[in-house]
Amino acid sequence: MSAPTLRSLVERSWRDNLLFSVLVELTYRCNLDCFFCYNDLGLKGQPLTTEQYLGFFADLRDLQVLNLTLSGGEPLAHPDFFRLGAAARELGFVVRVKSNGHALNGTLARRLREEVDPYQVEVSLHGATAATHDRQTRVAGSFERLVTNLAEMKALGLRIKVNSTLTAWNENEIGEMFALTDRLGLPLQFDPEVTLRDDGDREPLSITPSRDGVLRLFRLEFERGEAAAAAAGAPVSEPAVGLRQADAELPPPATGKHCGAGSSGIAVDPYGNVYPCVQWRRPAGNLHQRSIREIWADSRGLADVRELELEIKHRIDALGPEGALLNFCPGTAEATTGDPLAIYSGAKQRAELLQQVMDERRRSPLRVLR
Amino acid sequence: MSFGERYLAHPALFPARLAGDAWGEESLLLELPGGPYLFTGMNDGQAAALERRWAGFVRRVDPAQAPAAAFESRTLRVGAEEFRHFDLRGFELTLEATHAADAVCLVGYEVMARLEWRRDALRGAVWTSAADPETFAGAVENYCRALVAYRLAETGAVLLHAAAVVHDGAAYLFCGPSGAGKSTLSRRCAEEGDAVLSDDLNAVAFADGRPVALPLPFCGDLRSPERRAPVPVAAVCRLRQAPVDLAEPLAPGAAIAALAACAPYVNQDPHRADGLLAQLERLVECCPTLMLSFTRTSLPWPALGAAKAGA
Amino acid sequence: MIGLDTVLRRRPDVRYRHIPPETVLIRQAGPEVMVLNGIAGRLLDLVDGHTSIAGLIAALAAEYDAPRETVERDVLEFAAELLAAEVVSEAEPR
Repeated sequence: MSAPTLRSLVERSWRDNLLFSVLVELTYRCNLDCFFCYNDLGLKGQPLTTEQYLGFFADLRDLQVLNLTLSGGEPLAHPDFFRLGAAARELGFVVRVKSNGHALNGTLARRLREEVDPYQVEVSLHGATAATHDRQTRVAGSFERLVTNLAEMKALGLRIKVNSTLTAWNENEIGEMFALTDRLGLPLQFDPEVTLRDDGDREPLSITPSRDGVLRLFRLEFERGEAAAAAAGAPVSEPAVGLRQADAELPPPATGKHCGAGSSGIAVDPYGNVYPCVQWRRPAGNLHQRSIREIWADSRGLADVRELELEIKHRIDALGPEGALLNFCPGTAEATTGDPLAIYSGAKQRAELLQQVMDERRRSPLRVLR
Repeated sequence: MSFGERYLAHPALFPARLAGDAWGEESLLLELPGGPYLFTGMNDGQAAALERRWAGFVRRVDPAQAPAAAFESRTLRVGAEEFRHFDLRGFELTLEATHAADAVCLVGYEVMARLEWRRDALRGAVWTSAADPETFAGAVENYCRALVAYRLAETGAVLLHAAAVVHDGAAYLFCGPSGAGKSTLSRRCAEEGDAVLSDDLNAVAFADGRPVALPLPFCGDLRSPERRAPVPVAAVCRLRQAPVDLAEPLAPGAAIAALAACAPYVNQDPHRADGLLAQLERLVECCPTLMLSFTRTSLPWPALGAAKAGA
Repeated sequence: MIGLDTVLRRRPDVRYRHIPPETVLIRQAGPEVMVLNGIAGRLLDLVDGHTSIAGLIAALAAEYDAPRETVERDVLEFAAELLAAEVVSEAEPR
């Protein structure tokens, strides 16, 4: 086997527009009702049938897509989730399942492991206490059920990653949330940003975390990163803090584009609408009308996005070191300001706070060194 | 047994919000007391089945042109494997419910439903695996009965498990659970030329302070009622079968209790039961309420007339 | 020790795609990400749990129009590496 050239491979996928990762929102039905959920529940359209999904998956396989993420709503609530998940497995995808975990115990958890065998199940945690978590999900008992289910899922051999979005409601429980997931032996990743709903509704922004909350998160992530590096005997460097998770845990390549949206990845909603990314809801085509091969090859929407990605990269690079700290998302920029190139206030704040914490740690005489 | 375990394979998947996969693009506007009610997301066959079931009360509509005040319910598709299937012979189909201040969850045989109050608007959804139009229509009506019960309660009216018979220009309500004799009595009255509003579910509201029976398309054994104007209520009777025909006035407390037992859905809701009792109290204050013992083959009018004469 | 009669099968937790001239592979049980060069990636396609290494060599020699000895050396080497990396395993004899 050759020496690792994963970076060059991902670079090539971005540069040459090789579709690599697809996120599919199978249904907007959900057994929780999270206050900040971004799904556009008013969206109308004809749901893709199971047969259409199966044909779509086969097309993705032919396009050599590797990563297929099943999301929603709650993907397990789709009437044919297991048939689709098993097909995805059979077609050789690296399948991720984004589930709230609320129903993942007993039979369903076993079926997920045995029939779908996902690479990873991503589950959301909204707080360290039932009061905070259930406040977000608006389903009483969801926290207790989730904690129990996580233990069962892990025991079944499911690979789990816990995600959390930092909000005004949980920003005082960050340490406790890490402690909880540490006890469960599961990784926890925070996103420090609450986003609009996909229909433009700004209500979720009412629980945007405070500056202090974000600072608290960044400081703790730095501490944990340095402690983990020290424990592993690895060189202490600036850990990946406050950054958006890269595509399939692959390192962000040095290409002419800012990110892989529309160049190596897409998102699809339950009605067949194709978007450059789950965060960037600019329509690129619809699977009821055109195949993914056709959309990927000649969608005007995707062509525009690919051009924009070059411009965004150019502008972010021009900002120097501050640019990297923005963790800029063109989808959020367009949803928030109408302009995918605009540096929105959330990105500026993140960069500012991240810089502040980095400066603190450089000045601190107590910084842990190898 | 906890909520949903009787009817659902995976109770933890019960929907917590009004979203999912529609069956099709057809919509119906149901003009009933407390409404109008907009049902969306059906296919053509399903819409046609509801049009037959609710004839005279419903029409097809473009949802974009539905009245802004319409209470929307989405009809959504789920897989058959979501539900437990069992022998229904001898099994009385009921809707189980859980209640919160801003939501009511309902589950029954091959049906899940949810009503919720968000931003002061009542909306709902019903999930069923029943692709067959008639089965679908039955599932949706089960949900609709609960929806109407809640909307009536919000408007100061009440839904009663009652037959309503129009005699000499006035409506007489005969309340009782299944098997009390509502349909039997209705059939006897209809044979003698009286009009039956419904032999199963009727709505009572107040017009100028007086109770009126409002038409609903929900029936038991008798055919669907025709749509007609509200009819003043002359008396409300609690039915019981007995060897003799006798109508005896009920004391107010007993009357309210008897009627509360016959006010489905809302009577089990701890968040709304107080409001229901207040409405029933109002009804009892302005309308004679009697215990009607009857012999199943007789007509109620002689006994009711005797009670009125003795009052 | 694998030989020409050895039959290999892909492990059930392996997922891979071709991005010519390379192949990216995820071993879920690791988890581990690997990149294979052209012929090693093609070898993965041909490993079907039934064809012996001799059969794989014959197929690849024809596809790549390469000398059989060269292909045999490369296939045996790649197969050993894939086996060591738990990407493939020996199939049960029929």
